[in-house]
Amino acid sequence: MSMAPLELVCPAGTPAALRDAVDAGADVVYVGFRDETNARNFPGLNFSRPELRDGIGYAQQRGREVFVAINTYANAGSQAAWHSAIDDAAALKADAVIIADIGLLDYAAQRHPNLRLHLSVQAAASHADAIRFYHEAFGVRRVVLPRVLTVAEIAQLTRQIPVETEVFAFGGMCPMAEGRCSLSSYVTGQSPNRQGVCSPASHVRYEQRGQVLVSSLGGSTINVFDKTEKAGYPTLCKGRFSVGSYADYLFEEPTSLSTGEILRDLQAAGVKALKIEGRQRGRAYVAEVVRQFRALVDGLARDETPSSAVAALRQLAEGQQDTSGAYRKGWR
Amino acid sequence: MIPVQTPLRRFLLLPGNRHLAETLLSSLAALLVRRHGAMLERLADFAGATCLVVPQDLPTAFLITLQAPPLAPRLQLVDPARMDSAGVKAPRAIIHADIVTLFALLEGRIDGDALFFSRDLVVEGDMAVVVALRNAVDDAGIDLIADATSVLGPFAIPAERIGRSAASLATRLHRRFGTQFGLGGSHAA
Repeated sequence: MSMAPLELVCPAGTPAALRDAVDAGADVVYVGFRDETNARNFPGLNFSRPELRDGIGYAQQRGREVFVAINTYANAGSQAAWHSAIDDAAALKADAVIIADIGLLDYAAQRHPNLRLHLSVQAAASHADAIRFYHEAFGVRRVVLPRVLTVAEIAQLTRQIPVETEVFAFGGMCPMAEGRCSLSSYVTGQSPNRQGVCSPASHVRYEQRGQVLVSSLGGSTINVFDKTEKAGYPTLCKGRFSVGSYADYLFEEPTSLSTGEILRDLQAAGVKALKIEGRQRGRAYVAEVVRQFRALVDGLARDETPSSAVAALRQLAEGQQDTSGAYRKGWR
Repeated sequence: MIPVQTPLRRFLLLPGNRHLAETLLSSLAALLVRRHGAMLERLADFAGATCLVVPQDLPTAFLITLQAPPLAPRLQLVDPARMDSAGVKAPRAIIHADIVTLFALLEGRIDGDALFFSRDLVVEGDMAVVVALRNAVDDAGIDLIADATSVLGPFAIPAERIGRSAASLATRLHRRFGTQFGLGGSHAA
């Protein structure tokens, strides 16, 4: 029996990126409004309401879908921006909203009973009891799984829950504490959970000192790259720390998650959809990653894994290094 | 190595021509804003911010001053080595790359992050300004040749065709002679 094809859920930070993602073969494009209601609240990024209306139109006319990420946690006593985001996503006929905050899930379920709800990875729901609760209480129909599970654990989980599963397939890595990581706020006062931004650009500085490039965040040096090294964005989790004369990455190296070689395993585990990270990336990157994943997903139906696509994705990875992360837990 | 001085580079080295180049660039900026107005909305929070764009293979740099919408960004040609003596304030951000890369970035044909990771693109200063600029131009869908020739009315289509052939030739020459050339053009993303 042939398995259902994996759905390709692709990022877009701008209308141009949305159109490029659709044209490159995305089944779904996920986006956010231009404010703190989503976890990629970067300068000059994201969608105004008219842009989202046009973007949804562009995708739906071509038989594709648009999900709206409203996946930060609302500020106590001032939830208006989050409520408005949910109301507007529903009014603009978004195909689903991706939410983490339990109060916002309740709001969406009460006010918009026909709006499809997906549980954001920021909710960090990683076991059957938690996921069942979100389904029973709010009618959540899909869960984006945290990047902590092996393929075998995902297979077991999908058999136990009444909702679809979506897993991260490619892009930047986090230190596996989704929705709970406050490293950024220790240094900048802002975090992805509340303000929608990890290591905000306004707190980032790069300085060329002779032959080395120094990156800093909130005035603290995060990394020093010599002339031959690839540079990286200064998030604390990817900082290089010194002990005596020894300097190394403490939490994780600058590397990208890539599942190009394990898609068949994920499909066999019952996964419904693959999520590509990177709403903050430019449209040239988005189009190329989507094109390669389209080739990989289409290849599954023919029992093929195009090696050229796997190699191309490696070139697109941060530092041109990739990992299958927790899916294989090779460090065990 | 062949000593190449391109017409553009030679042109810019003559002080009398800088004013003309500056006027042409400001007209181009105004044209781009007319054709891609949404770009300004993405930059609205940065009115007054300055960004110095330094083409490493040209003898001059572009100082961009963002303004409140609907005003187009102001463009000045400056000598990056003599900004202090010319009374130009330190910019909030600086971007360095070769001119072909900068054109490709302006047109959204190339992955700016990858260029940055590989050190082909160097950024300094306030990253919020750099990120906002990148996102604004990335979304705009700028096509320099089509945009510039659009003002020619019935001659726009043949002019665009000639422009693309010239850009293709310039790119081939740039690849052959490397950074000694100061001509930009199409850059395969």
